[in-house]
Amino acid sequence: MAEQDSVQPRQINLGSALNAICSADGPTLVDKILFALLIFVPIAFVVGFSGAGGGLWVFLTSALAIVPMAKLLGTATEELASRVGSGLGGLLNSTFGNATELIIAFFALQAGLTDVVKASLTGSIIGNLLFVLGLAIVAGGVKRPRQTFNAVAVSASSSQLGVATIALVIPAVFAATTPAGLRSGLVENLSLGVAGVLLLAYLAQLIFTLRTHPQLYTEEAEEEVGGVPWPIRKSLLLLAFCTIIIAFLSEFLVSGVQYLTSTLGWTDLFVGVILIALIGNAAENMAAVSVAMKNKMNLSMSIAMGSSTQIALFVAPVLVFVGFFMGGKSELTLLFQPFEIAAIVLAVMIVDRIARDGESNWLEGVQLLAVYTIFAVAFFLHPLGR
Amino acid sequence: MGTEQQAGQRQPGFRRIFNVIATGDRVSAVDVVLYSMLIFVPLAFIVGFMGWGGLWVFLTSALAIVPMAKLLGAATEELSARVGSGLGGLLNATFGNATELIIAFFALQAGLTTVVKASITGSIIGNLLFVLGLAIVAGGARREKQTFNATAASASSSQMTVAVAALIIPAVFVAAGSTKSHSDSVLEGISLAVAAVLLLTYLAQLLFSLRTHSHLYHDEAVEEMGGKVWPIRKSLIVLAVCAIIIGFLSEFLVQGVEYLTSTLGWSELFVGVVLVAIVGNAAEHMSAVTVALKDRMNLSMSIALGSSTQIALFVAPLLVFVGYFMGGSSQLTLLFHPVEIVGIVLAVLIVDIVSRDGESNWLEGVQLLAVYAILAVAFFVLE
Repeated sequence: MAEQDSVQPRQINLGSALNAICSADGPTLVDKILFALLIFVPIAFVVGFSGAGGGLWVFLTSALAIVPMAKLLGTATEELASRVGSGLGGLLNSTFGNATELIIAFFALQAGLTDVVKASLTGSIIGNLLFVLGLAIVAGGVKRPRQTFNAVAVSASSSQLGVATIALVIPAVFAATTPAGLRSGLVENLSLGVAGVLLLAYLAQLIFTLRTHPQLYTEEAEEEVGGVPWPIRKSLLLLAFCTIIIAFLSEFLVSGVQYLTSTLGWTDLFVGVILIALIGNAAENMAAVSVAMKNKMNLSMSIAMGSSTQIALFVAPVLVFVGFFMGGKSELTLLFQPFEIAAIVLAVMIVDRIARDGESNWLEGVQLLAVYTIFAVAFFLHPLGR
Repeated sequence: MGTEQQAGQRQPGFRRIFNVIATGDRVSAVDVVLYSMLIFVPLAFIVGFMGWGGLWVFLTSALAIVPMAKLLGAATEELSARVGSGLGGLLNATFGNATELIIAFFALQAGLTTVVKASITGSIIGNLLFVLGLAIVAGGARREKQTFNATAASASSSQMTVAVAALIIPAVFVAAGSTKSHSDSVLEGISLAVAAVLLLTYLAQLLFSLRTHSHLYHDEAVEEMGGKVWPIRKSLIVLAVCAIIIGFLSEFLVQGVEYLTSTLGWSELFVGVVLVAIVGNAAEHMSAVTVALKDRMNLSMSIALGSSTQIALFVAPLLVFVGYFMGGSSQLTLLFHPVEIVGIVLAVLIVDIVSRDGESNWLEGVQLLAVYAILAVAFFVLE
């Protein structure tokens, strides 16, 4: 009896950790994989603090460890959001939805890796639009002749992305047409101004989705929530705990990145656009793919495109202000490489093309993945980031 | 009895001015605002002739131009209602941007070609982004959504694309060419040729909308008319008086602009793109917003989009020819600043994305305003 008592608490702990990762009704294959990835959290700490195995291992273990922690953080946010009412809840969800990206970017900024941060913003945008959506469409469409979704909702996202794209294009055009001698300080001012406008546009979007037009989004929100909501205290504790762990892991990740770029000679662009962006968005990736397999394409599209717009309208401008207050080498402008801009513009265009008719099939997914691969190769070879 | 008669006589005279400004049958809040802004006309003349500081000259003349532009527009409409739909449409289209033309004329005379070009850019992106954005927000604030004819909007889009191509080519030419091809005379030749093509396109558009396909535009035109039509003589006199007054006010405005750029150090691009463009198009702004509030989005879109295409296809090329004949420092080319070109292209693109589905909600309006604000910041910071 006493023996049983001592065994049971451990099982419950293990079980509740599993439940924390599980979405809704039961552990799916994705949940099990995420759960298994938790093993990398202690490994990353050991490798990170001891420096065993060198930079490559630091990068790999911290990258793999961040993925399940991001998912946990997301779950805690959702649980908290479902407790505090739809208005504040929606705000929480959308603000903390990209907490992982923000934390990683914060530490990268602190290390002065502004090019990597900018590249990871680019990568989050094109990664969600091309890689995530492409995978989701392929996964969902592989056993079906076609899948349908709401073209109107997609077109609303498209126009938000249009605004974001313009915000990212203008500073580059500005810099390209201003003689280098006159440029000092101007691009910084422009970035702050543009970031202010973007945050206001984001605020308007929140009011639109949470206040004036919530009926357009309710059906999607309901799908996401399920099961018994946690007590607020549990959510808050888990939220704080995850944030701290992710912060440590991000530090390791950043030191790993410095190894990749300086020792292995990989470009800032490639590391930021492809690697960091994939890690920061891995949780969304999996969610979008798994709902697409259940033929919920509306939700899948809204995860992928919503994440892109949030990065552009919220994460990017917040980082500009954060960098401004950190000062010095951490100062972040919205001046992207022309090549990054071309990639963003083309990604927005091709997604708009493919999504406009409200139908998808696996070939369209492959097309998105093809465009993504082309970009990845180009970013790997591009000499600018060296 | 005598005093009563006097008062009775004065009131109609007073009211007549009022009626000129009032659109249609009812006096709206916008009309009252415009009416009260007439006070700035004498103020602007006093400040302008006394030369009380550049900033005040700019502010008073800018505020005075707004109601005068509206008056000029009203007189044009009344005149065109009298002369039959063919000639009337031509009049309306030609004098619809008379205010912008007059302002630009005086700015050209002062050699402010950068400001003139910037005000062309500003009129195009201002109508597409600021006016349309405000109209969509105002109309959508209390409605879930508003609908409009997506086909008509897309027709405007294709006209705008032609205009965009015309405005891009000279810049691409300069960017791609060797230093030899930079020479002013080559650039002027290209500008004149492009301007001629644009005017021909504009002529084709007039033929299309007034002759061969007039039925497509019929219901919008009918909506605009209302109330009794003025006698031709009255319209002509109001037209002439307004044009002369606007001419003086424009001269003051240009002095004010020179003060803003030289003394306050504001960039010519910002002053032209944002300030001058808003002044010149204020009347269109108000009517587009007013009709959007009444849920007539088709008319609102056609005012905003139509004004943009007219600036690009008619005002801009006309100014090239005017500058050519004025010669010297007034010579205008169609070589725009790269940021201006990118701004126009992006504005056309985002409007196309927002309007493609034939529906609008206030968030879409905010999106247009956000793009406008981003461009305004860029122009302000630009040296």
